[in-house]
Amino acid sequence: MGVYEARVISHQKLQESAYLLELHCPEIVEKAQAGQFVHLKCSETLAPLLRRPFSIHKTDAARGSLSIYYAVVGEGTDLLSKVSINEQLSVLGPLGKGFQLTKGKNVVVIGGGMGIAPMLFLAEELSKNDNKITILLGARDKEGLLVKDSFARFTNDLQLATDDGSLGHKGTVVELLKESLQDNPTMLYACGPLPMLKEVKRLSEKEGIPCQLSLEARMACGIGACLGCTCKGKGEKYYPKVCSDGPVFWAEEVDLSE
Amino acid sequence: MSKAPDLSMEIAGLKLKNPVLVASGTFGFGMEYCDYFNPSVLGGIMTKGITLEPRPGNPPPRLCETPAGLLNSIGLENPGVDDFLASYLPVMKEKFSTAIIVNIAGSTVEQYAEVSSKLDGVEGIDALEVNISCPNVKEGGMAFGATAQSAAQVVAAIRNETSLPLIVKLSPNVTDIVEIAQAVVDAGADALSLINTLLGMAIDIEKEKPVLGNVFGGLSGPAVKPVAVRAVWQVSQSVDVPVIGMGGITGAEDALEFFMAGASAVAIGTGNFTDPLTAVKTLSGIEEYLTEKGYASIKELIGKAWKGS
Ligand SMILES: Cc1cc2nc3c(=O)[nH]c(=O)nc-3n(C[C@H](O)[C@H](O)[C@H](O)COP(=O)(O)OP(=O)(O)OC[C@H]3O[C@@H](n4cnc5c(N)ncnc54)[C@H](O)[C@@H]3O)c2cc1C
Ligand SMILES: Cc1cc2nc3c(=O)[nH]c(=O)nc-3n(C[C@H](O)[C@H](O)[C@H](O)COP(=O)(O)O)c2cc1C
Ligand code: FES
Repeated sequence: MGVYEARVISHQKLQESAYLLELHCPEIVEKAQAGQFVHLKCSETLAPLLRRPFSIHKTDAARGSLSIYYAVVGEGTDLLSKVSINEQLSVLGPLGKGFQLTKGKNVVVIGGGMGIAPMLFLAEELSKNDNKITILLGARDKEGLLVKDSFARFTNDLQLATDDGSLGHKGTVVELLKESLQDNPTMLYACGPLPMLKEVKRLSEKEGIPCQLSLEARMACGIGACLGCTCKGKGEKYYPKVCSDGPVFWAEEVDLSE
Repeated sequence: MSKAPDLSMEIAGLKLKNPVLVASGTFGFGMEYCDYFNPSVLGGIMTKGITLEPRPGNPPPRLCETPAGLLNSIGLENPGVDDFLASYLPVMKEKFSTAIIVNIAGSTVEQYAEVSSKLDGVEGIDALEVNISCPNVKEGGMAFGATAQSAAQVVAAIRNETSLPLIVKLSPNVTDIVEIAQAVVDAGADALSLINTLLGMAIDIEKEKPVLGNVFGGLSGPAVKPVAVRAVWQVSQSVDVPVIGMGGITGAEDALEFFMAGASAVAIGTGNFTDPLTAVKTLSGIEEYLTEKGYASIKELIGKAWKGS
């Protein structure tokens, strides 16, 4: 972990408001694990005041680079989208507890919306360990699935879902997951919007399949010092920190009720 | 070549190698930041608030960024004084060669007194900082620091239990901060720190409800700096004890304002989140400023703006 000035190597607009940003930061790449994130300063000024967390989408050891896949949703990401090649960004990372990798298992990887971001790095790591991998990706429309091709080389079983039916199954990834459960998977990995995570958690508990979820929370420090990014843990009044106890949690560790 | 300026400072008998500290609740127990810099280069570390019993803190969400500011409602999540002494302090002692200032909090006067008595005489603790912004459960939840009388009552009770240097941290959520400052000094405070956060809230217009799980939160960051500088200016002129200034410091220029307003030391809080190196950068910026302006010591700047030259 450390704080680095990372140079922008490439910055590409993928769809209406989503971008792929590649940063040169060999120190982070060397240590990064799937499911971890970086905490980025989106501007050189104090507006916005806080950094913004983004999952590591992929790494490229040869280029010493990591990429993030992000959507413009507010001030910070809007400023980020205007950053040009060769500019420097202050990056903290790699942060948090990533996914626990399996070996020789039958796994299902589920990514919904921007929750697709950490799943590419995960799929790559899982593919190195003789796992049978099913990947389920969902988005509002086909624009939201433009990164799908990069997943194809890590699996023979890539299934897509869109809300409007413009690509793949018309419906949700949770519906695809229900089908996949017939194949008796032994591990589920999920990242996506809260309603999706709740459903995945419910199904995993119903079927008794171990399940890892990547959660989000508003963050300040990003390193476990401010106690601001908590979620609800299982049991009486226990609040795990998403930045340092997570962002990846076992489904049974967390209470996703609002 | 001119000599390097003297940055050392003495506050309430506590010798600091330099006057840049990190503020309670923003630096944990110091361990988290070790991956980014060596906290021992700072003048001291103010710990997360410690209470008698462990506290789980407030339900999430606990953070909301606002223009140039941050609202937090952590709710004093902490391991409790016994676990602090058993598990955290020993690591801090071993890792850090800088002042360790333990911030304490409570819901009753008795709790403050008991925590202080447990911390008194413990090797490795250099001073106590008392957070009097906590609600007094026996007085309908009004903050201890809200009136001169209740603030003085807490401080007197703590003074009875400890010979450690006592720094009392004032809340800005009062009508007359000078009156409170004088009352706590009369009750035995050796130094004051200010300001704690300003009470605020935010509403999510999509969900049509408050953003924070606890409804209200404390505002910190650059947005509160003018309030803090004003408070330091007023308080430092009305009491004889040193003042530690904080509120919205993100670099040396901000810190220098606090010294000139009357602070003898400063603490970085929210600024640590923007950049974990804010405190070290502030320290080196202060040194550069002193050198450039030909000051031999940081002490020459204390209260400069009201003392005149
Ligand atoms: C561990 C982690 C990994 C993340 N990875 C990615 C990623 O790979 N790609 C990506 O696009 N985004 C990711 N995010 C979310 C990203 O951090 C936010 O979108 C970003 O902080 C928004 O900043 P902003 O200034 O643009 O928006 P703001 O102006 O801060 O907010 C705009 C709107 O988005 C909402 N919002 C912002 N952040 C969050 C959040 N964390 N959870 C829920 N709602 C939020 C706000 O409530 C508001 O309505 C991740 C978040 C976490 C915690
Ligand atoms: C996340 C967070 C947690 C805090 N926790 C405490 C605390 O436990 N005790 C305390 O006295 N002050 C606490 N504070 C207040 C700070 O120590 C400081 O007084 C205040 O934030 C103003 O300084 P700043 O603007 O530099 O952050 C906290 C502030 C923040 C932002
Ligand atoms: S963001 Fe500070 S503890 Fe997680």
